[in-house]
Amino acid sequence: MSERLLHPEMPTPAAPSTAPGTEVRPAWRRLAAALVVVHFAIAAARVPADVIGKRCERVADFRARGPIRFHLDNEFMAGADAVEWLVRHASLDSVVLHRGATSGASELVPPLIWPRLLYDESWVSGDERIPLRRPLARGPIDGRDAIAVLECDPERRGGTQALRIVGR
Amino acid sequence: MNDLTSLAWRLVRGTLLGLAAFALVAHGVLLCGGSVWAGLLPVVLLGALAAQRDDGVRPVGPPAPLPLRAGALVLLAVVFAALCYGALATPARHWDGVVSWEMKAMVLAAAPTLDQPFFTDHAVYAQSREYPLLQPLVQASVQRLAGAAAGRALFPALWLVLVALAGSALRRAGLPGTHAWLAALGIGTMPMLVSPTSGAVDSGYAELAILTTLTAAAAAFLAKDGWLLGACCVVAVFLKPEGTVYAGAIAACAWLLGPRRLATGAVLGTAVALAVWLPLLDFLRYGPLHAAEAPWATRLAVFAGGAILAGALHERVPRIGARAALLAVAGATAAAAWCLLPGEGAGALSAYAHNLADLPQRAARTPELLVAGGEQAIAVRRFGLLFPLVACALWGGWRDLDDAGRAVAVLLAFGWTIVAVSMLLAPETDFAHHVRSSLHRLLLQWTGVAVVCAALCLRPQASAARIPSP
Repeated sequence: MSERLLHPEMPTPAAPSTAPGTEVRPAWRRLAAALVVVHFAIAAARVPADVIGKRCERVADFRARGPIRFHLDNEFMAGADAVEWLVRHASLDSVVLHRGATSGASELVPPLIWPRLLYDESWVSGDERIPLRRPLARGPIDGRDAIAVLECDPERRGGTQALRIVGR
Repeated sequence: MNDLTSLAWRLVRGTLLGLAAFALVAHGVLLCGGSVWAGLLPVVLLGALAAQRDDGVRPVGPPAPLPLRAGALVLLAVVFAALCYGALATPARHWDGVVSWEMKAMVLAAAPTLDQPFFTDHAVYAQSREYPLLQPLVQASVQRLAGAAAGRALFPALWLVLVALAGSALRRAGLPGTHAWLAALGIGTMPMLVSPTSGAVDSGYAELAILTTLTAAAAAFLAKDGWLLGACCVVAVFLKPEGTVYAGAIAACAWLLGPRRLATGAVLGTAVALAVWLPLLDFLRYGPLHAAEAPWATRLAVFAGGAILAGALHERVPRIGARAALLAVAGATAAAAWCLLPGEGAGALSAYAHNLADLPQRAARTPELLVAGGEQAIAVRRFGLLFPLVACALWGGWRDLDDAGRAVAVLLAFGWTIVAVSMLLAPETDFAHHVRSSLHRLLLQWTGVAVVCAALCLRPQASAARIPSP
């Protein structure tokens, strides 16, 4: 690809000149043509390994581990066990109580447990008020049947943030 | 090839107009407490597409060489296949796509109304609760009609619109076929857009939709198409919080540099969209009680008055300098109004706006921001050599741009300025982390305008042509 490719109809020196003040500036146009060529070389070179290869790897990883492990079982977040417990024990229409940090791992929980809803525990006064007229998520915790609360550690940059199920 | 250009243009124009109509109607229905009918999207889109007529504008200049067209088509087809696979194979795999955008799509697919705990009960965990809902609504509508995977087909479909938009707009603006094909290929293979990363086509983020909308705005400037520009402003407002600022920038640019029909379209589009969106934003932020205190009819009247005033002033103030001065006064007034709004810190946009008062202190971060911007400008794994190319093209070609081209260049300058100022105003305390995690995504949103701008600057002067007004 050359400058001629970018400007196939660019007038040759013998051709009539363009309007006054609009003459071609070969230096910057040549530089631009070179940048275009290198840009497309970079873009095309990235397609096999990056656009296709890495994408296929990520999709395969997601499918192999499932959405919960894919998102919440890594060096920064350890919450897959807690969310899998919720999916296993909490009914689909239930409300899951939540306490602790609201940023980080907690953000991933609502889409992973949907249609169950994640609900701020501090808005529930005692056991008598049932939020949204829905059942509270509950199940076997420490050998007894209890209302479950999803607890989230504070977010620490570079550290691991954990989610855990505790009884209420 | 001429017919292909015309067909592509009508498809993308109809899509943008249809999306704008859908956004207005659907958000209006939500505001009134109703449910969005699943068939609304196809009906509105098909109606908008059917309303498109051939306007008689034909490409001038030579077509692209066959090898270039064939090579570009093959590369675009390969990338499109990869994007389709990435979008359809699994649900969203990247952070914001999972926690914000696709979560809302799931909620709205189950019940397309705001009258449900996810939106009304603030004890229910909802990330970015106050974000506009156009993208989730579109995804949910398709999902309800054809299943979850079909909903995610929205993303590769939008990529197709973006590619067709860049190529057809430039071809119709009188550029040679080579320029149009290279521009389409350039935006279609932009590394950050097609790599499996946050902000990419299949990540589920709204960056692609905003990018497409802003590119369409640049195309509307070239085509002097007031309807399309108005539609872009509407769609921008309903896509993301920063879309409101972008719509304002588009309207300001049209008012400053464009003919009257562009200024009218952009100002009216922004005004109508905000009249619907702001009451809904109140509802999402504060719940139904607060929203009832801000009657939308009052706001509609305020925005209509502003739009009429802007139109009248545009007619009577022919000089660019005087227009710029008025624009600066209007901008300062709007900024002051934002700073005095109640509800400090509630909502993404107002959190930024309330930091306006700290701008002088925050300006000390400028050197750090410039370094980060420089790093992004040469981050070839994200943007290739786009930024050096744009700089080179503007340096050499700025003086040869026609009025429409200059409007696109000024829009790009507005966009980059907004990105820089938003970085400085960010509410996050860790500035370095915020710049690292957000700057590249905001810059991605303007890459379509940058590609169009570079192509216009590189237009060979011998074939420069003006397209007839529609």
